[in-house]
Amino acid sequence: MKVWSIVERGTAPAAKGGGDADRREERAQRRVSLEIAAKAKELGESKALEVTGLERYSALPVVGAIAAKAKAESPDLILVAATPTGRDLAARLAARLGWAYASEASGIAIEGGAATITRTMYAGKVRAAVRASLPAVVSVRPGAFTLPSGAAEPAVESIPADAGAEKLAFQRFEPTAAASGRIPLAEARVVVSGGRGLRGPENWKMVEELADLLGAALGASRAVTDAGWRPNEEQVGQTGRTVTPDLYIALGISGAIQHLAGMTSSKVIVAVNKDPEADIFKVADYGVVGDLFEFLPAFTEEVKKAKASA
Amino acid sequence: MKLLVCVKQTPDSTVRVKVAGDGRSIDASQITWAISPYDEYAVELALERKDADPSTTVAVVTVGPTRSRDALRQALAMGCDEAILVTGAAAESLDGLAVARALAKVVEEAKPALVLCGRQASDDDQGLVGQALAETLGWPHVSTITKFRPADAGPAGSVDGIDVWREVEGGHEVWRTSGPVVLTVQKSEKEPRYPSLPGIMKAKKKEIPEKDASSLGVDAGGAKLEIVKMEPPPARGGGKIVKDGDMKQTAAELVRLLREEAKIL
Amino acid sequence: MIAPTTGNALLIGALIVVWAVGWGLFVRRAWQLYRWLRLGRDEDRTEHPARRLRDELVIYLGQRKLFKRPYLVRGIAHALIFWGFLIITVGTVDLFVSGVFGYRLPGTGTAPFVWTVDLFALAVVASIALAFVRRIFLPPPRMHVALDGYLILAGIAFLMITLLVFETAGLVAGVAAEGSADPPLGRAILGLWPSPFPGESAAAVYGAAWWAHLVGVAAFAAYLPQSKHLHIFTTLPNVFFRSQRPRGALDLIDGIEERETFGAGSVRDLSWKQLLDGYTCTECGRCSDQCPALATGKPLDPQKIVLDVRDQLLREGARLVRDGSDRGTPPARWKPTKTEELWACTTCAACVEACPVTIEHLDKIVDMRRWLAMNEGDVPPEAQRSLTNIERAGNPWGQPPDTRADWAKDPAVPTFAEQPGAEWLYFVGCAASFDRRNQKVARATVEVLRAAGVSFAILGVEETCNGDPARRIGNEYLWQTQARQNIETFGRYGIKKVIASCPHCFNTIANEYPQLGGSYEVVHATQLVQRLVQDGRLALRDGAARDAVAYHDPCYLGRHNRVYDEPRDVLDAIPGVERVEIEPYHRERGFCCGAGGGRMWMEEKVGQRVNHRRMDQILAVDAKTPVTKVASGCPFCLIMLDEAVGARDVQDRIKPIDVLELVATHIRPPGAQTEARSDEVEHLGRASG
Repeated sequence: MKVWSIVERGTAPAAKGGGDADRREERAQRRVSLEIAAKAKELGESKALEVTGLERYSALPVVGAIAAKAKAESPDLILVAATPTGRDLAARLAARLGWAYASEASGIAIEGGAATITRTMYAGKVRAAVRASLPAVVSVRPGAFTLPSGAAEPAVESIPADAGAEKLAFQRFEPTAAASGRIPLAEARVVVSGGRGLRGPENWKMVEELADLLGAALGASRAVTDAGWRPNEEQVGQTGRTVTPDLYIALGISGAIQHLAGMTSSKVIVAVNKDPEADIFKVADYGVVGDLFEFLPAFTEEVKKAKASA
Repeated sequence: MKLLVCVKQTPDSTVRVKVAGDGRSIDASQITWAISPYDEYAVELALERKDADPSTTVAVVTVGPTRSRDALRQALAMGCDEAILVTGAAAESLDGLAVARALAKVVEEAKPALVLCGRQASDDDQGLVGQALAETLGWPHVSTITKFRPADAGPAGSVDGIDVWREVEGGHEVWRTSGPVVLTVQKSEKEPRYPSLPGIMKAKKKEIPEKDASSLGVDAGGAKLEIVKMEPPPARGGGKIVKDGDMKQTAAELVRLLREEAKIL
Repeated sequence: MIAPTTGNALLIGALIVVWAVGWGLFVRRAWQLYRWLRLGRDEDRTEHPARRLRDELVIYLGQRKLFKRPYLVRGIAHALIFWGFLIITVGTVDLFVSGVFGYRLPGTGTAPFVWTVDLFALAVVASIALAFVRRIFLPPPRMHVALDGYLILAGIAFLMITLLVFETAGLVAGVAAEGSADPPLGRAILGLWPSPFPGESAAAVYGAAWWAHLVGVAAFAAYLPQSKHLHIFTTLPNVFFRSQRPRGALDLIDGIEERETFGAGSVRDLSWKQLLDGYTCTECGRCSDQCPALATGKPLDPQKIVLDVRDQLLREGARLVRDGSDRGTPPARWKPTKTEELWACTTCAACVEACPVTIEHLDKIVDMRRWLAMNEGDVPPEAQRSLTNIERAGNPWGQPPDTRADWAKDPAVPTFAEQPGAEWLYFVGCAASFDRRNQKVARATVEVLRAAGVSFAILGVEETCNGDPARRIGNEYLWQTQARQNIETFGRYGIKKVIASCPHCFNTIANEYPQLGGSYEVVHATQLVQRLVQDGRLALRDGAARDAVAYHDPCYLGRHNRVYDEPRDVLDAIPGVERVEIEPYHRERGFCCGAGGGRMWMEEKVGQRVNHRRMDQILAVDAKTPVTKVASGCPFCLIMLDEAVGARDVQDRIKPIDVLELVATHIRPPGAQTEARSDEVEHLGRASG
């Protein structure tokens, strides 16, 4: 059983401004590369590959390089992190090779010459097990596999990008107007949202600190944007944005239907509110009843510790 | 310029999807079907181009069971010019690669300047068909785009390729293509338009040609992916509630749960 | 008095020519205006002739709508000018007739007539003085004070003064006709000032004033139809042809599947009555005064909606009459800000209620919205999302339709499928089905109905949005789809009687479903409870706490359906509850919560939020009489008020609540009441159709 993992480092389309966003993305990519490399090792004879020589990711040169090597060496399974670029390259790679493909796997088991993959379907409304014939390409949800403690940095084999395969020309990078480096709501995998329970715009410093730590986008309830505490673009809900992040943290939001309509499809919802009757708890996976101003600093501290140990 | 948009009909996002009795498919009896949301963005993006340049024509195609005709009607009502339905017994159970092969036949016939797809369909959530279609056609693709337009006019006033905005963390990369390309759409600039009533009435009367998937040389055999089991996710709201106590402990406990149980941190 | 023209053919000829020119110009303009009016689409406004005659007497002759607070003084002044105008017109005609034929109209020489004319002339002069003072020193903020207004006032004053002058001079000159009474004012003036005219000039002054008066009348006639004071004439038909539909009902678009354009894409698509509204508006600004959107800084001004239609017709009328294929500018694009104005409307009908000349503002706004929504697909994106949700999920929030009856599992409410013989349908509505706050209202309603022994069931997942938001946003097609689906379901179960706890469901089912053939007896929950309490079928006990409850009138219960008293009676029947009125913004002047007309699903970015303004009004009352709860009978009001108490940080002492919730907490325990028989409450309900 030959299992490859593709290390995405260096081909990421980061902002390249050397700012927080870049560092955060680098950290995230390093972590997810470790995760899939460890998984590959667990599943069989593993190899970690990295495509080098590109200023920024582009599908054809990367896929060309990996496909050529795969044709020569016939691995059984190629794991790619299900980041936006990872999913892009994995899909095209699978099509190039004519292999089975499954995206956003949260579990992989090999049995009887096939891989059984756990993943969600119907926008998270169904959990499914699918059997992919081997060979296969699978993109893996970041964070799906717990990294064994003290996992060693894998040896990464570099292969040069197939520059001749490129058919597109990169023009320029246009940073998002909000130069805060914070992710826009629509793209975010984590959203930290504040409601009137935060009592005033001055208390958003605490929310921002947590959001930065989690690489999260900022959201807000309609009450908050209407009060002018936060810009209108941050409004989540019926009249604002509908979001479907992996993690949605609702701070001091009571959960009026206008708000719920915009966030109930989030995969995991955490709610913090002092009112145990608040409707937000009816949709939350994890709820904390208590004083936000005591909880939030403590929580931020704990997340910091957790991140440091990762 | 001729644009082709590939759409899929999936359960509307408001529908509560239920697993069928066989435990490996969904119960389709109570479902309202609609164009998959990312595909709807793709339609909108194509129509925005048509708004900017009325000489643009937009065709829309789907591969699927005959009920998919409604999705095409919806796209026509929004303002697409023509629609093609690829259907037949074989079309019901194709995997992503086979759908891409069927679509490639349609593309070869229709000869659009570019093809738009949603970044993924909201049923299988795979995100494969766009890339696979480009691969089958031998075209390049750009994924998760939010905007495209003809590149700035060259010296002779001619249009020199197409500029495409790809959404990445922190901003957009702008890529230029000089030949045909497949684009997978992340979002349109505006929300997908609500069809006007005259549009709906016109779409109702429009002829939608039908192609049989097997006549395009595509069959469902040799599927590489098979659904073994489906189950609903754990019920929402039965969430763990931590009542007030020591907030330090509560915070630590929550972080632990998020890491170990939800595997999200 | 003897006319100065008597016996002089030349002067008689001159008088005829002057009047012919004045009134000729009047008729020419009137004909032009009439032709432009006919550009509007046909609409039959002749049903209920008796009601129309009554309206004419009460609203036109009786000036009823002018006497509303806070306009009472101005209203009286206007009525005096109006009645004076009517009386004096008879006198003027008499002057003309006697000037031409030397013959007096019967009765015009009698003392009662002469006294009446003089008293009104005096009242008119005083009213005009008041009007002048107000315009100059205290201009009302919304009133469009322009030269036109001054000209008209000056014109009327001129006519009155010339009248007084020739009366007085006539007395001095002794031109009184045989047997006619002395004008009392002239007499009074002479009493104060015995010789106002030097030497022998009285006869000359008499002649000059007489002529000035009659020439003035002709000039006035020529000028009137060019000015906003055209309302002197157009109010007469405008009141007669006012809508006799229930106020809450919008106009049906018939044969919608066969049409090619929808709503008002041209002034031609507005009905002739809507165009007549434009001619009738006198720019008094009362509608604007009452508009919650304007009051909170939105771009909408209901008066401008009417005046824009008029201005457009005056500008385009001639062209459109010439060229039958010319459709002119779509009214919704008349000016760049027009669409924002249209979308700012909450359809609360405060403007319609306020208008003294029965102008129908809402129909215009909705007709323009219809064009935007159906023809152009130009709807605010967030509102469009709600429409799509209604279309696909049957509720504006896009909640899974099969969870609609989840709330009803706990109190185990039967559905019609389970209990087909139930007497009443409780139409729950989307808010009480899906919004957790309002689910409590649904449960309370069930509890109350059960306590009173009412036989009822719900439709469960077979219920779908009544369509009200779609219709008010302008998507008539979607409304018809929703309405037909519900009517079909009602029919399948043979449903005849409907209870709604949401005024929007109530209004649409009661007033609008009959347009599609669905006629039922429909009651709002508070109406039913009022009768149940009155008939002793529902006994209420004292609660633990004293509550001072401010009652907020939902627009679709109050102004649209005139259900003001029943919810108040219910509150009054609850022991321990002291009702507080939100003075002066209650009943007919109730101030909107901001959610009607589809606004619930639209952003409110401009100005103050309407619900915050409403809360401030409640807090102003609270400052004098402390309020512990604010009760309403509408789920949207409840959501808006809930938000507003949070925004004003008074959620800990003022609790928004539905009247039914309050009733439910005061139900006397079972056994303490007699078994109610539902057939005894049969006579309840609003007959629709």
